[in-house]
Amino acid sequence: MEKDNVTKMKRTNAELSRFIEFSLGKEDYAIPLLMVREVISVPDTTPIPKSPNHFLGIMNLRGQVISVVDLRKKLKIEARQDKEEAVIIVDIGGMNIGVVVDSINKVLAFSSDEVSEMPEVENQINTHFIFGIYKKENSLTILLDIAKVLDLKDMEAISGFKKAA
Amino acid sequence: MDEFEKEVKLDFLAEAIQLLNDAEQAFLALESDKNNANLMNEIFRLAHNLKGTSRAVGFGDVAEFTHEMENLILKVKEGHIQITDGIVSLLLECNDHVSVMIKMLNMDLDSRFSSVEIIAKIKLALTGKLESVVECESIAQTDNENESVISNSISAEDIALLESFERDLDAPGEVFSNDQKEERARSFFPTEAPKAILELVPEKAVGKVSDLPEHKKTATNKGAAEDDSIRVSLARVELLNNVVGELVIIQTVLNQHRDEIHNPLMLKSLSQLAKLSKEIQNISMSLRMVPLKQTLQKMQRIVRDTSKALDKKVVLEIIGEETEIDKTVLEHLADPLVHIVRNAVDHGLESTADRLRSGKSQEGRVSIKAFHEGNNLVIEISDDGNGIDPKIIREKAIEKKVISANSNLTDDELVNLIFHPGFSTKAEVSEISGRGVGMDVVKTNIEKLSGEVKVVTQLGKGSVFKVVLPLTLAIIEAMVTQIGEERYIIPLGQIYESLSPTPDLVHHVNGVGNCLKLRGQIIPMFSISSALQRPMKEKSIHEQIAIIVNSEERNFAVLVDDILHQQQVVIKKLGNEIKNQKGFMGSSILGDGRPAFILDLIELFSGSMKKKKINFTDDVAV
Repeated sequence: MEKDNVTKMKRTNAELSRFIEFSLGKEDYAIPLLMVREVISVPDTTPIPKSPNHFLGIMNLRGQVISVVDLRKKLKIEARQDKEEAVIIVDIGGMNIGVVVDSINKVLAFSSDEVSEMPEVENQINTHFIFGIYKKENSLTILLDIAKVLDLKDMEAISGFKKAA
Repeated sequence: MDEFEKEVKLDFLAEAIQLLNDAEQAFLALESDKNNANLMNEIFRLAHNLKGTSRAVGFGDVAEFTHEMENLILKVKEGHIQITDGIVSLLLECNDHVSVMIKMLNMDLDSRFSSVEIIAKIKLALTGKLESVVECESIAQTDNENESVISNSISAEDIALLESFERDLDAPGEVFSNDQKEERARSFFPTEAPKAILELVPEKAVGKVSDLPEHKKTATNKGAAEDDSIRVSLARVELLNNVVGELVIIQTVLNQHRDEIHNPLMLKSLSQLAKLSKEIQNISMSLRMVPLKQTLQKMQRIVRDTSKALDKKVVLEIIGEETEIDKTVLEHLADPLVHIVRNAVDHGLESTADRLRSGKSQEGRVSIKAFHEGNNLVIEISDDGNGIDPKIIREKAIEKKVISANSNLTDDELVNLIFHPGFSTKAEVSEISGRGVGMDVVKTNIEKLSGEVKVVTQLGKGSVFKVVLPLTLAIIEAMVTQIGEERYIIPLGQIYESLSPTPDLVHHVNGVGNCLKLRGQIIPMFSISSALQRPMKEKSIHEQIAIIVNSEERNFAVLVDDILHQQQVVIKKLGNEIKNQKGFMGSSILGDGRPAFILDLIELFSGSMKKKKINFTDDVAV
């Protein structure tokens, strides 16, 4: 669904797409700015029993209880440990989830033709959650489909968990 | 249809539901007080309103029908037609017909309707041929409850014909004028077909009322005419509740740091703030509350229809209809209540002959009493019938293999067997109640609302069904427990008792593990840490706290590190990503602003209980 959003965004606003860029370990990633509700510092969380490892817990966002997920654990990237961590509250089709990242870099604005496809690599592990790569002067930013990174697969994992338990 | 037109139409529908409810009440009142001119004026006003507005917003079918209805009411009002039971029944039927139309329109604004049959009936009444109307009425009444009764008197062929006729009338895209419809109807039925069939059509439509979703109907609470109210979406109220909850928490945090404040003005403002935020919380919570009035008034109609069909004379008394309850609870309350009330009239009250024989008044009395008791709403439905005979229940229960022949139950336990699945006491299954899916459904529905239902009965004097419900589902009374470094909330409703498991209470049973021996009963004991897969503090069992959970199958004990305190918590729903987790009811925000999970211990341990059950009966029961 989010991918549709992006393609739509590309179509209607071929000039500029806005993404929020953040770091996970040494790499740069970005998600569409329109999906971001707010950015906060890492809050106190309460652990969720029986949940997958990357679920950090639940937090209180001004009276609303939402789950917080550690994106580094999810993508198996080693955290930077420099206390710059931030939580991006994303809105995935009305569902709010907090996503922990190493640091927030900047807002990117680029036109769609600056985005290239994910190169085909043999023995490629799963890359379905990446919908493009934005080339900067001397580095790359990976554009993530956050819904695919987190959403459905995890929910299935949990119901699987439930059955197993 | 443009947005404006749609909006106008939807507004009309909401208003119409209100008008219809008012009208129904007026009709019912009319039945007992036939010479009340005020009532007649009121009814006329309502019908006139309905006609005018429905025409104005462009619901031609509704307007056309209400016009006929108004004609009839006018004649009645001017005294040309005598008000009889038959007329009242016809008016109620008209009311139902309009309700059906409004409901259909609610789902699809372009619905079309045929009112030809009922209009024919009105015309009959207008020309004074009421006899035939009443006659058909009595047949139609039964039809309302059970169509099969009619099929005895009318051949299956006729029913099929009737159905195809209905289909034909409902055929989309075809709009007939009334005359055309009548003609069609005539062509459909051979002349010798029972005239009653024609009268049945609208009744069948009435039967559909219960199948329609209840939305909108409960949305309007009080007459807009009689008090100034606005309709606000529940989502907005919930949002407000959330924010107010936060406000209260922040206020608590401030209060905890009182000692550090030395400025007297600050201290004074702080206590004022505390008072205000408490008040705001109360108000915001009360926004979810609606009076029971509407739901209870519907019972008037249920009692009327049921008693007519059974040929019993029944007076319904309603006390405390202004009592308020959370809207979400109310929505799920109507069905169980209808069931209990019907049961009271059908099973509870004796036939008129039996009543006279046992020296009671001819009229049976059913009363519904609603009141608040602590944090609960209590609804008592009582009848002055014959009561429930435990001996008969016992025989039935043994016959239906609900209990074994030699089981030793007290009268009270026997009476409560009526809530057992598949238990129906009435010798023959009637159309009104007693299809075998009776009281157990009532019980499950009420338990789903975290409520309970009990019955107290006195042979020869009558029975009382007592329904106890929490005032709101949004707030529950709960214990906050410590498990390892974390806190978990356990609803008080699940906790039977808590105690410290001293060595003399804990016994090890092979194949089951540790058990508690409590007052001669052996209770399996589970550790919460294995169920949650979270660590607990390292200490012996005897230093932990055992919470005894009252579950339907068998009580069990759950070990936690500590019980911190008891408090009211506001339940927050879990997000989609974790709502499938078994054993969690939701979450809540504790006094320090941190969220905690609300556990459903029964669900959490249902798996373990099943696993252990086999071992348990093997080892312990002997």
